[in-house]
Amino acid sequence: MWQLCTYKRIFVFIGFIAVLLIFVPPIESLIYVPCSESFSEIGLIGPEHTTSGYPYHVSQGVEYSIYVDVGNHMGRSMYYRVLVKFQNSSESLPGASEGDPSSSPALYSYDIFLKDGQVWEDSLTFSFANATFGQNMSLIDRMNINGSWKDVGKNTAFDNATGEYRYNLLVELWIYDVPSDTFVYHNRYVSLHLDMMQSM
Amino acid sequence: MFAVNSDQAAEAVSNSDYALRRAFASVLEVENAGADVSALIAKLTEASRELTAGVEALNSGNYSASIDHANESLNQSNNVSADAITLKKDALLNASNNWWTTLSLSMVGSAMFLGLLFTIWSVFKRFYKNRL
Repeated sequence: MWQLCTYKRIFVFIGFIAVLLIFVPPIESLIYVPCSESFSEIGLIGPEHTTSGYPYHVSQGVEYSIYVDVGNHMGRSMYYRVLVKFQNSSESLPGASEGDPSSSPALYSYDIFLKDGQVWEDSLTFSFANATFGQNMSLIDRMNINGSWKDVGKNTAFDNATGEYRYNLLVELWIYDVPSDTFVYHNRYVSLHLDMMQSM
Repeated sequence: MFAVNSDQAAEAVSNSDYALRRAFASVLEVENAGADVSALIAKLTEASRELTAGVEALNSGNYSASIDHANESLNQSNNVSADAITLKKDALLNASNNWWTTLSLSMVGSAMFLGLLFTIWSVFKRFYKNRL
């Protein structure tokens, strides 16, 4: 049998631990615990809502349709801006590690507000006009995105290795940064390779 | 009817864009205060659609329509900012009330547990001394 003072210490210890546990709810509401992992996702879905059937061999005068998806897992509501750009084969894609967006101008943008855990999806339809070919070069003069015509003026050289006139449809994800009151590139993009055909 | 030019339309779109960004910032404050911002996010989406329509109208040279859409977006963004202020006050008040309630319950719970523990200790001490 232990001394009485030993039992007393045990009782005091039990009381101390119990009081600590009872005060956990009010204390934890005062402490900010950051999310373990926060990220955003962006993706392109094919015309049948699957990851197949993406437009690849494209021609002018034909309308193509895909879907753009954005998911918010940042732990708070986000204001996203999705920029749609069109590039030729010589223009570089955004830097994957440096955080630099493509220098190509945006032809179309989606502004999206998403709560944490929400996913957004919208269609992206596009077509081409005034495409000309000659001397192993192709020039696309105009592009329609979601019903709005844009002057693009992109030319690309014929790729002898693949036998294609290669272009990229680039979709970049930007986020609104409240402190700086600007949109900043979120270091995420998806691109769709396109081969411009001379005729159907 | 007043004729409008591209500068006026661009200014309306710019003002609307700024109001939308500020409205989102106020929604974030509300969210940080612990409120459910689903309704405000939905309203921001509507305001954004109007702004997009305003930008498209501006780009296509339809300045009058651009101003109409921009003004509608501006109103919706201002409404969101106003709603956010009210919601934030309510959220902070609720959070404060909840915290004090939780703290009070913890204090009462602690007092009851310590009282019970002290009673058990007293009984145990008497039992211990009687056994000696």
